[in-house]
Amino acid sequence: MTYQPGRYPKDYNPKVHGPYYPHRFYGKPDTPFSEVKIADLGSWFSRRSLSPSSIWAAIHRGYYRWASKNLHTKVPGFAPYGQIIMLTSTYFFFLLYSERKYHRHCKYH
Amino acid sequence: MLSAFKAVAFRPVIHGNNKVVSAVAMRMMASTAAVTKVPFVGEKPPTREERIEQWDYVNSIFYGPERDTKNFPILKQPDRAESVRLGVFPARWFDLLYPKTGVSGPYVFLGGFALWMMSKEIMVIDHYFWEFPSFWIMIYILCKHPKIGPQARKYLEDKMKFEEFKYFTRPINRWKDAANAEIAKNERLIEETETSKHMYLAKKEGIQLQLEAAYRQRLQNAFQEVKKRLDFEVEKVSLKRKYEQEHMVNWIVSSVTKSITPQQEKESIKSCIDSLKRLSAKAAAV
Repeated sequence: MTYQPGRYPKDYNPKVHGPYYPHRFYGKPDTPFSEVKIADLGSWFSRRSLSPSSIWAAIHRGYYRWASKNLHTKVPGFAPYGQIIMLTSTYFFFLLYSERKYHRHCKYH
Repeated sequence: MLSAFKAVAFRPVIHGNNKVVSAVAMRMMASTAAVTKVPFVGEKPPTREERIEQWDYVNSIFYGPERDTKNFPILKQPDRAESVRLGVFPARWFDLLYPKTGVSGPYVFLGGFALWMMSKEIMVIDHYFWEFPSFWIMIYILCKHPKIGPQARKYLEDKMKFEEFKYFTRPINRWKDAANAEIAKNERLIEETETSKHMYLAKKEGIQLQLEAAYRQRLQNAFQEVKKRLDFEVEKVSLKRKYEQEHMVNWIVSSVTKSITPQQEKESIKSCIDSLKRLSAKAAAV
């Protein structure tokens, strides 16, 4: 099936899965990555779909997994915003790294 | 609203006919004009029946017999975010390192990592660098300030609570109150309809009594009228008879008096005197 922007995942069936949670994986469950043996890594990766829509869906699920626990709570507090700020500064650290390299004080470390 | 819900949101996943959707998508892609007209959510407020129908429909889908609540449980919105260390780092990450490194391990790791980056000048101390510590120091001061931190926290929590009250608790309570008022009204109506049975019976009895009274009144009237007529008849007959009698008497007397001649009168007076004389002689003899 081609990628359908704005549609539910193909495997999502509301009669079985109930209301849609964007952080939930509705496909066929596989071994979690943390429980995969190193010998099985190849076969595990061969079973993964590497299409752009799957990767985007994985990013989407990851964001909502974080947001449902941190940002979308009743009283989120400062922590999720602090995490966003921290990630932004990390991103800009890598973005500006090539420029900032020129300000090094020492030649040898 | 319901039609939109049925038509667009769930049709492909429920009925499994992705062909329809893809056909519609193809047609929409082929022609710039919209093929199907989808009603807006706020176009017309749904009626109560539509709401109930929608509720039942959605419930039948989400919580039907096929629902797998074991592998796909129903989640609740958490009250607070996950616990963090140093303001931003999830406590889970620290707990992962505790068995290997001890309590201070993660902190040492963070500090050592920062020192390593500075030492190797991966993190260069340039004019950008001071933005990072100055920002976090300001945040730390604001959070730990005896007034600002707690006040901001209180303000935000109150705001959240008010929002929840405004958009969730209050409308639900209003709906509940309205429903309860309607239930009370209907119960009152039911009671009234029950009393109306008694009212009907009482009225029926009253009307029956009135009918009985009217019937008796009429009986009495009939009796009185008949009696009056009979009395009249009796009176009439008796009056006629009396009149006849009087007339006969008068007629007989007048005819008798008319038939008496002066000769007869003289004879009668004479006989009377004679009888008187006889009587006086008898009295003298005695």
